[in-house]
Amino acid sequence: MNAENLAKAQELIQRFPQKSSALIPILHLVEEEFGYIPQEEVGVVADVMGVTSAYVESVLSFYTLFHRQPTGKYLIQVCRGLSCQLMGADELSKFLYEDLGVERNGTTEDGMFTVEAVECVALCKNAPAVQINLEFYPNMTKEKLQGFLDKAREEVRSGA
Amino acid sequence: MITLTIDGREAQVPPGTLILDAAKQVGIEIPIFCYHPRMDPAAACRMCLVRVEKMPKLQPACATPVSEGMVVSTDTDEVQTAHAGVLEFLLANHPLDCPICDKGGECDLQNNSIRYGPQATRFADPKRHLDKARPLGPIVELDQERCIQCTRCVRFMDEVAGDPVLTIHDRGGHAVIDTAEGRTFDSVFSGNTIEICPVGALTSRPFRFKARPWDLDEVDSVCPHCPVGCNIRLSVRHGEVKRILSRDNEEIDWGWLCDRGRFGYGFLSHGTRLEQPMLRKEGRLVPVSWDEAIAVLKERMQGGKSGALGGGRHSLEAAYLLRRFVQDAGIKNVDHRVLPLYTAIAPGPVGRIDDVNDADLVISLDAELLEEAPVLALRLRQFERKRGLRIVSVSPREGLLDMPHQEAQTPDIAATLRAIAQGEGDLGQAFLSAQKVLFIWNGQSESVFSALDAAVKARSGETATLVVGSLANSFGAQAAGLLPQDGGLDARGMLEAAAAGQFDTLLVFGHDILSEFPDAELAAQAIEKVPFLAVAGTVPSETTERADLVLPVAAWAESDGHFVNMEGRAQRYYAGSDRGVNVVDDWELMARLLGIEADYDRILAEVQAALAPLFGKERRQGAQAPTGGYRPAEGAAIAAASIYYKGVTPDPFLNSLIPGARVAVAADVAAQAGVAEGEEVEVGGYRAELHEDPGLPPGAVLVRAGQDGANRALGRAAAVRALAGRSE
Amino acid sequence: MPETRLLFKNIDVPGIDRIDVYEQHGGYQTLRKAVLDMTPEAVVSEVMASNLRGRGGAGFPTGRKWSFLPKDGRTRYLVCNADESEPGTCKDQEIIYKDPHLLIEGVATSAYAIGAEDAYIYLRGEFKVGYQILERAIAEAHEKGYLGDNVLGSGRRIDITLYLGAGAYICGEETALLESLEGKRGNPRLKPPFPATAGLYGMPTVVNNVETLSAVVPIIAMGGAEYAKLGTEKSAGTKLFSVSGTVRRPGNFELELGKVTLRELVFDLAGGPLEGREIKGIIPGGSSVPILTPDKFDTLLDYEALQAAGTMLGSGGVIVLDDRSCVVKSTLRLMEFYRHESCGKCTPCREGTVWLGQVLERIESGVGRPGDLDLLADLCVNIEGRTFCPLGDAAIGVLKSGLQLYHDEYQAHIDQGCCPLGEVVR
Ligand SMILES: Cc1cc2nc3c(=O)[nH]c(=O)nc-3n(C[C@H](O)[C@H](O)[C@H](O)COP(=O)(O)O)c2cc1C
Ligand code: SF4
Ligand code: FES
Repeated sequence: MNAENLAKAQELIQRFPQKSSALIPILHLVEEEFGYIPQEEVGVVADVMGVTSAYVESVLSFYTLFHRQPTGKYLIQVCRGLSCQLMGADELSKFLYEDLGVERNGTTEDGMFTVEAVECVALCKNAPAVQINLEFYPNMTKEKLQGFLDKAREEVRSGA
Repeated sequence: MITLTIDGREAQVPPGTLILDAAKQVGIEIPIFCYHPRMDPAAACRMCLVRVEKMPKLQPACATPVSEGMVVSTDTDEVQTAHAGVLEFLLANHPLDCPICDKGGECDLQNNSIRYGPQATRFADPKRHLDKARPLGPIVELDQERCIQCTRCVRFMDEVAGDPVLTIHDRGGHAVIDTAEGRTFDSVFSGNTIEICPVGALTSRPFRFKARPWDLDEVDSVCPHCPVGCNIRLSVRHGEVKRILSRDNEEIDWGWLCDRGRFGYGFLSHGTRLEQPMLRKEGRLVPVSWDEAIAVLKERMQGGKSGALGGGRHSLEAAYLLRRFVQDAGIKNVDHRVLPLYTAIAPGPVGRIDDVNDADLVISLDAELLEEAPVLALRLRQFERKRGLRIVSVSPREGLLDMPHQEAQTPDIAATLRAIAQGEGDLGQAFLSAQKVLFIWNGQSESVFSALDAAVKARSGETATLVVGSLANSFGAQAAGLLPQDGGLDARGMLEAAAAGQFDTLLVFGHDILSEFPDAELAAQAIEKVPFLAVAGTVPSETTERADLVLPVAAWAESDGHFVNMEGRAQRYYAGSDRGVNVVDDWELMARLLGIEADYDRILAEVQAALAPLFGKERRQGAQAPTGGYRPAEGAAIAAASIYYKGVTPDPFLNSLIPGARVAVAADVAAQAGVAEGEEVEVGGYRAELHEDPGLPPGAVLVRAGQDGANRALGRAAAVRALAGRSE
Repeated sequence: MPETRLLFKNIDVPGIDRIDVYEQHGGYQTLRKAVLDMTPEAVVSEVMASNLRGRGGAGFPTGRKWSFLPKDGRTRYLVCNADESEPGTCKDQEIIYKDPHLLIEGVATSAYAIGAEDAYIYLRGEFKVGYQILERAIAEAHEKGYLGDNVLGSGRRIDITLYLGAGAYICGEETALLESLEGKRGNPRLKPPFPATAGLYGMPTVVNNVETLSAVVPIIAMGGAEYAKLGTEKSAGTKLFSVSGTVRRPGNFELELGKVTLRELVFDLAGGPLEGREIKGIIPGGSSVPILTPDKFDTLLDYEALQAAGTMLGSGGVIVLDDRSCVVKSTLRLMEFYRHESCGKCTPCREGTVWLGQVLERIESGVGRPGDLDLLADLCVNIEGRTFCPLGDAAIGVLKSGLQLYHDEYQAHIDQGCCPLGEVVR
């Protein structure tokens, strides 16, 4: 963790009546900083929290939003909840897998995009829904996705 | 009392009883997997579901307390279907590799399947594939496919051992038991998880594929490795001990063992036992008959200056007969305290292990519980966890119990104890006002003995003391009277006399003086100078090599006898494994020396009559201050205990777990020595890594016993000076 | 049958997420009234009188739940369950994202009522933006004195701490939520003890859903008795329903309980089936409850009527399936969800969801076997009522009813070796 996040971690430890509560927020900090939870950081978090690495791993492996592998610059999560599936979620993910040449949970070689099919994200009334870096994108279509991909690529190309 | 009905039978049980236990009382067995009587219920496996009238769903019997008028059914169609359903689920992904599984024959999954299982499985899909042979640590191996996720092992390490090394990774159908990357399952209690694993998921690497459970004979025994005296069972096949299991004793061990106890049997059969009486003739040890050996020893012990060292490692019966022998022979030089020990019996009332259950305050005096009495440490932890039992450690070294007990580090234990006894400070007040106080002491110092004596007298409430840090039968040896008689010499005195050329015959029984006596230099000189050295024991050692007479005796597992544990409780062990043809029981050796018939029953009857309190139910009374005993030399290092040590019961497997040689020094010594943290140093001829321990009092050097030659760093070698000398 | 908007009164007001706009629409008057003019007991009495039932799924009376807190002087906590993870449910999300001050006011008023100084809002990890919205709103409320050490000068301290989960449906279950809030794995706890006696950090704790706590605002504003006049005797007040799946106008709707039928909600408010389709089944209470077939569409939307129809009101997540929606595929999808979300602690849920998923996968991909439907039904029996927490029951809710109601469709998959609907199109 960088110095800023280490300081935030200390602050989190003070925030709750019991220190243990700080673990998940601290893991969020790590996930945010690195895009995943690197192995070395497990030890760092364990030290900060005063618990064993085994314990940290046990907790973080319970939660699906913590990644153990690096993710792309854009983490595209296609909701595959029933409501979204009924409204065509499968086609969206198929489109993404084909267009980006990745498999489920795969990351493009240039590290730009990771595509995940995730469980219901509570946007059922706006199905099919997609989350990109945890921003909600309601009522998605292939066309809108294509637009997003193009824009993202353009931004990177132009160094924005 | 609460009255309820289970399958039509009326049961009367105290409030809070679980349905499972109430059923057991009326002879009804409810199948379980995840429940363990010594741990909190998890109610996870769902094997124990029963019908309770007026409750909407089936209830887990392992987690549901009884209530008045409750009506429980455990064998209706509905319940039977539930049992079969759980088993079908567990078996669906189970590898069913019973023919090559170490648990085969004593597996809960097998047993429950036979009684409660479905007739056939309907599972016809691909099974889950996971790691089949994952070493978790030096002792325990995990087969993830066999694991049924009962989490007994995880909960044991967490709840009981207080060292959560094992965790669950991932969730749902992907959940597996594991340790963290980079951490092995290195707890000294790891073996318990093997025993409580209801299936063959956790197996013992030393025991793996050694025998099938149904081929084993089970023999009741007592652990010989420390004064806790955990109850064990020897699993024997073809006269050989194949493994050791626990034998749950409510008052002592609660069914737990440490790994030394569980795996410390390799020395029994590892091929280098003493097999034959040997006598030194013309400089060489040659085989002789028992008659000749006994005759020579008898003659040597008569007249002149002779003495005996022994008592802690062999039976109470042998200790008693040894005492009778020296008394008859008029020998006054006797001692059992060859290790750093002043007394095995404290002043005042002797503690009982289950005093922990209702004590208000436990004060540990220089004890290193996890090393010296591991299973006692588990009980302390339980009550610390359950009801916040206050545990205070008075010790110059860091406390070794991983629990939020209070530390009172101090270099001078006796002085601190006197202050506490006078009600000084918060601790002193707590001490005086507590209903019941339990001391746990390593028995090393005469000054602590008298301070303890005063402290016990200062209180009006109940007070008792347990002495740890001794051997399996040290209490028995002391109770039998193996202490200097009428101004006779203690262990150090005898060795000093021998080293000065003023001693004729030394009988050493069950010790390796050269590697164990805390003053190695003195021991070496004594053994070199003493004209006649007789050594009785089970395995060859540096000391037997230099002996003039070697007397091979049976090890505890091969013999009948009693050990007296730290509570003063004589516990019987039975012969399980075979011994060499020329090897005799330890008490038989003594009987021959005494010239009495080696009739075990008759000898036992005599011991029981003479030492009746050790066999009784009443609390044992403490001892007077003994003479002699452990006196560290000027400038000596502090002796620290170690659970894994070579000693005279070397186990080739456990020896591989002995930690690397290291000495800890106080900050000022480290500075003076001018060596870097972790650098190798030589202390009195013993090479070890040096580490600074800020908790140590100025000038202190701490040496952990157990490694080869560690005792050379302890004594006169003046460890401190040797270290400092390097920087000169 | 129009909507009856109490919670959604201001949901479409632009800028209602800002405190000044919220105040202009009467915001924080309830908290003011409660804290300055009422005793905590009086607030609890009003909630009792309102007959409000928990909107998180189980429908437990909220006032009763509050009254279980032991009066022993220990620290108490209020925890708001904003984990909203039940497939088909997206009502709490709308409150959080659009009208965050309503929730904050509800939480603060309820915390006052039960005597909690600290309240926690546990948000599912995916609501990261919602977290930021609430964070800003809480800061605004602090500035205006609605939260803090001395709320509105009353001398009472009330504070709200946000907590972000990290992807686990089970953490919606109240005890798993508490474990997670303590930084642990989200395994449900053994009950008893219930959270009311030993909840967060072992202290007496009330766990309530976002909608439940938001409803406290109109209840205190209008008075419990007045609120109780809405709806029916046992199903008082209004309830948010999320309609999703194959309908024309999916969305959240606030309805007076017991006054509107399922048909009216789905066909009138939500626009009915997509062009040229027919609705063949509706899951009315989130993904965990039995399906209703068209013959039951006239059931009134309230707790008892839905129960009488063989299903449950649950979370109010109404999922619509039409004649182009494959039941096998849908139940498989749900089973994959539960298999993914099972915590793994108890045998029937851990093993059962995996096994059911395997069999459904087989049937869906055209390689089902003759006995498979009996096997599925039997495995449901082996899970139902036997798991550690209600997730097991939830996992089989739709499947069990689906097997009965759409038996032929399942059977056809096995007999024909493919989906009888052909390539399922949207
Ligand atoms: C598997 C499972 C998931 C649940 N998920 C949620 C949820 O996402 N949100 C929620 O408010 N309640 C959820 N609940 C219900 C909670 O356990 C609890 O009953 C509720 O938060 C109580 O609030 P209420 O009384 O206001 O309804 C869930 C229950 C179970 C068994
Ligand atoms: S605690 Fe002592 S007596 Fe008990 S098993 Fe361990 S070594 Fe043996
Ligand atoms: S033994 Fe009761 S649930 Fe496992």
